Amino acid sequence: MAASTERFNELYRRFAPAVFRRAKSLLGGDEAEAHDVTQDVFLGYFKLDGKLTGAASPFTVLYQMATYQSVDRLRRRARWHGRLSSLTAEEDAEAPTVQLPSSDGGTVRVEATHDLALLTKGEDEQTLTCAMLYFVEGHTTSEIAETLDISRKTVGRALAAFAERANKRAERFTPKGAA
Amino acid sequence: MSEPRPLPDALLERYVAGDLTGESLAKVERAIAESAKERARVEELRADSAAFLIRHPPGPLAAKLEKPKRRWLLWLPLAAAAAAMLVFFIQPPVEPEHSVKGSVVLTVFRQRGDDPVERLENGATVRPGDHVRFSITAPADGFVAVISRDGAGKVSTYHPFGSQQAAPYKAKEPLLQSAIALDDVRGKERVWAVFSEKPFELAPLLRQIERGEEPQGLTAVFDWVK
Repeated sequence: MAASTERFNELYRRFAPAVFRRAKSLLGGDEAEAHDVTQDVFLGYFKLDGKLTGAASPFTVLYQMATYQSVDRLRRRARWHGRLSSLTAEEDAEAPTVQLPSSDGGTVRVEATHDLALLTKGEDEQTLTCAMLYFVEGHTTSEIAETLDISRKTVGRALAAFAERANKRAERFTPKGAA
Repeated sequence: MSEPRPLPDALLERYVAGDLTGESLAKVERAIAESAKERARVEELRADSAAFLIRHPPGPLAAKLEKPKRRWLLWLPLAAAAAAMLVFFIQPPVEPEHSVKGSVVLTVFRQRGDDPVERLENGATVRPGDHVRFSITAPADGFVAVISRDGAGKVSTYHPFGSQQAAPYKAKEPLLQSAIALDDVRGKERVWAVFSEKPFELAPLLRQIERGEEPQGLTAVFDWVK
């Protein structure tokens, strides 16, 4: 077996289940689509493999790719619900200022995910993943930093800058005169 | 006292993938040691990962990566003999799928104490108190039952527990919810997974196995020794 195939098999066995679960969770439980994303993520990762600097762990890269590609698919069918029409994130903030309710059977979270898909068009993988974890999934900046192996300061800066851009984009989705 | 905040899903995924080190690893291990809920989450993730890899092994995808490197073979002469060789070489070694059309595969996972969940090989040795869980890969949605005949010849239904009818089955969800703790009856135990696209009664099946006959139709067999 070629060394590259061995490496592929090893990484796939370690990380593909997590990539699949991440995609499935963002895609509303659609297993077929989540499997497509998993395949695309791994093929994409191995095309990039030689260009990756090695600063981030494979998990971090794959997790961000899975989030990005799932949200990209969602964006194609997303419509604006106004759940994330006004985002705030101070650079030093620990927790999101607004927590989505968790007792509504997930409807609000689904709508917020769609909103975020629309607001993150053009954002890079890291910013998009931070925004999803913070604004929709309610993680703290420390938790995001630990999960993605980056500093809390980097997370805070990325979120604050994103919130500014996102609020401008949100104006385009909100009908004029609406509260 | 309020419960501690649950570990983020992604952090737990990193832990299960063996990708955490240092303080993060220590923190997650502490949380798991202190919380039965977190331990259950880890067990569930491990079982789900094992089931995923059965349904989607890396082989076919690895083959997709390899194919472009073999394009030079297309320049070989198109003579019949060469064409035969081309077909042979162009097909990279693909990891065998665990299920082929029209067959049923029974996979058994074992959890022993705090050890990681492991997939058992057919004929494995188990111990009383081990917890086992089943995954059935079948060609379509339908109905399944998992029946056992233990070392003393006793026939039991492991799934669906306590029912007279086979349980509904979805091909997309091969991991069965039922988990059993093994008793202390020693000897070789045989377990059958029986699948049908239509509902079926378990009583005739149990009688058949009690008589020492093998179930017919779409079945898979797994043996362990206690």
